[in-house]
Amino acid sequence: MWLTLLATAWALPVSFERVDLVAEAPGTWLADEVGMIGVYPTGPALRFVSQISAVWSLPVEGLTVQTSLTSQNLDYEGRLFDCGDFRFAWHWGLQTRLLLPTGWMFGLAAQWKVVRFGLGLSVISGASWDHPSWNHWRVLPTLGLGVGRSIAAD
Amino acid sequence: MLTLCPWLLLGCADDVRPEVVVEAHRGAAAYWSENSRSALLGSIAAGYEGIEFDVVLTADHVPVLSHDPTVNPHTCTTLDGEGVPEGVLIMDFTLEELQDTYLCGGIEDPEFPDAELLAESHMTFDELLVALEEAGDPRIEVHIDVKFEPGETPEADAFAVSILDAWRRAELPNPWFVSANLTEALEAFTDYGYWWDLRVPTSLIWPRFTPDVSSTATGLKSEVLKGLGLRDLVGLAEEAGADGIAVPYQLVDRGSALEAQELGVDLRVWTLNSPKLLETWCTWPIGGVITDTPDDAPCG
Repeated sequence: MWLTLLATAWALPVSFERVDLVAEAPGTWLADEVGMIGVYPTGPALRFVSQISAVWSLPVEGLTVQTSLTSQNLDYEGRLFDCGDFRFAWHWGLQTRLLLPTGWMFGLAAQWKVVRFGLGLSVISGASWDHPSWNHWRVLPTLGLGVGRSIAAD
Repeated sequence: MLTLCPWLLLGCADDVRPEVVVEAHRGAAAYWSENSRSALLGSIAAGYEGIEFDVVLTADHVPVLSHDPTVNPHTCTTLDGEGVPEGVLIMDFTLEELQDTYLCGGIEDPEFPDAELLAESHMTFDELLVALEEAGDPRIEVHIDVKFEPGETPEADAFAVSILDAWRRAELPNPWFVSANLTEALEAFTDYGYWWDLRVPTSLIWPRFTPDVSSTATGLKSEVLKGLGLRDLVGLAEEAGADGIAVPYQLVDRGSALEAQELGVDLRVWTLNSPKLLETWCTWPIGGVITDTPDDAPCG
């Protein structure tokens, strides 16, 4: 099934949307790693790089795929309103690790020119292909910082 | 179970956890030469909560303390004080030959220049068990790290038979566990324990560092595999049939630690040799920290 989904996704016309320097999914970098910078900087540095996410828009309006080393997610953004140069949206999405569903995320986003700010929650399990069990869950507040095209549809 | 971690409210700051066991790595190698008689007797006398040491087998299958399957050229000399070449296998000597040929611990280790130096013969596992019995402190946890290396040591079964037989005969009340970086070794201990009606707690050492691959490359590869979810601390322990897993601190993240704790996997973190590292990991939800400097650990 996942191979079919992967093949389907591969065949879809996708376009590059933005880079999330601080990705909202899975949200563990801010929760777990920032506090470790003064203790063991190499680990947080490596895990920062591995959470940087490339975001790709799908043909369905508002639907994006976010891809980083540690998380690959399907996210839907719906536009809320504009306020001056700011454009606001809500979003929710499915988190996966190599297409294994691991949790959910939802929150609000604001776009100012090419900069995107996000604020939300990540509901994340420890499931992985090596240990595909969903016994342990965490709820993490998230912040996002991205650079690229505007959210939702124009 | 659901864990809430509201970092916006600084709610993730933890206090030191007294239940985190502090293990004296190789018998507290910062204070005495690693795996030496002085180190283990000193650690027992100091009352450290846990002692960790490495075991290999001689030709006559006597367990002796050594980190490597070879006589360590950096810490050992011949009885005449001459250097030891690389690659001298301990399994090529009987215990008597080994103890009549080499002395270890009399050479300064640049990593631990303040360690007490004393040239001694290899300590046997039996000697250690006698020392534990004489100390009479049932609180000391005994962590036996089995250095089974195919081709460089006797078979895993021989380790299991020799070590379990000695442990069984000693009838010590102390908590204990056996670790190894090869599943084959852990399975041998579990199987022979079953024969002797002895429950053998086991822990997988991960990743497996080998001399032919740099430790940086092994660490990076392990970090990537873990990041992708193709390796998982809980999954690795379960695959190995182990009760726990021992991992270098560089590869441990808080999410994995929380999950291991939640699922009853005993996570040990090595090798924490600075007060700052110890202060941090002593607050984590883990079973124990392994350190060459146990006096610096605020937990345990």
